[in-house]
Amino acid sequence: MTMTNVASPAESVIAARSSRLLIAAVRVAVALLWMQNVGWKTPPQFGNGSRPSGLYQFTTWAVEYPVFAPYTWLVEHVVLPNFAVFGWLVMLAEGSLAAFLLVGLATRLWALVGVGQTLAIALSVLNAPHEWHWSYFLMVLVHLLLFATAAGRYYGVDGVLRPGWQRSANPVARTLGRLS
Amino acid sequence: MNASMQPADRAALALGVASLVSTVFVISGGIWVFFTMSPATVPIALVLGLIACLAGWLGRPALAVSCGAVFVLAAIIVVADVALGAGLLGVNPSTAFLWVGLGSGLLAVGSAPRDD
Repeated sequence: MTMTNVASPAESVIAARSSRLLIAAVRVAVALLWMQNVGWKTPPQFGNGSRPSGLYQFTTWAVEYPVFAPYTWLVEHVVLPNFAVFGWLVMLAEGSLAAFLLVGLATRLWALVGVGQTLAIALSVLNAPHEWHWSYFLMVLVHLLLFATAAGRYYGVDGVLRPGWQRSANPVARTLGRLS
Repeated sequence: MNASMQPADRAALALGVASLVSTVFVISGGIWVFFTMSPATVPIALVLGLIACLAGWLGRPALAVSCGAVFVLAAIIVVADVALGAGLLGVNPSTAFLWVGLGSGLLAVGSAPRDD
């Protein structure tokens, strides 16, 4: 078998500046998706009041329109009775997704968090009226794509700092290298 | 652009420019409100953005780290303002996380080892 130094077709596509710009643009767009949607998750009530709204109302749909029985049980018996804590956790998770995907820092980690958060949302609202199930499938897929392409390495902080992280003997730096 | 800039300095400059550009969203509406900007937050974004640009242009990592820390502090103040229902800044949590992103980026590139 002969070996050549010619880049594989897949590598040559990523090497193209236009492809790297597109990957960065998708990463930033996904960050803006999360950023816009953390805007209506307002502490400290998060919509839990005499007239339920916002995050609280969407979360109750997991019980009203069940998707997956164990998740429905969890929401009904754990999440809703402790909604203030849950609201803060959701706001921090989605806000961090927005923040770190925007600048491309530890991008592969946050891409996986994005998959998890999308699944949690889907398990709450997938069977609710007027929901388009492909919205959530597409969200999962785009986060998987950000993970697969290590999107923070293109015009992101990961791309600047990763070489140093990989050279470093510091365990934190090496972990960041793996998460980027 | 300063030809001798290190990649981390260029990143700090880019993050500063992003903060300056974010002020355009003071006039956004409808589906384009990715984050909120108000007359109270525009000066913060402009001043911190300019400082980040200077940190990158002049190659001053300590200034980038300081600017990043102030961005994160400003984000905490925004969240507190919203959570307490004060509404003094006239923005929602999306602005806080924009600043967490810019602040974290500046902290990371400012504290990175340099090839001096």
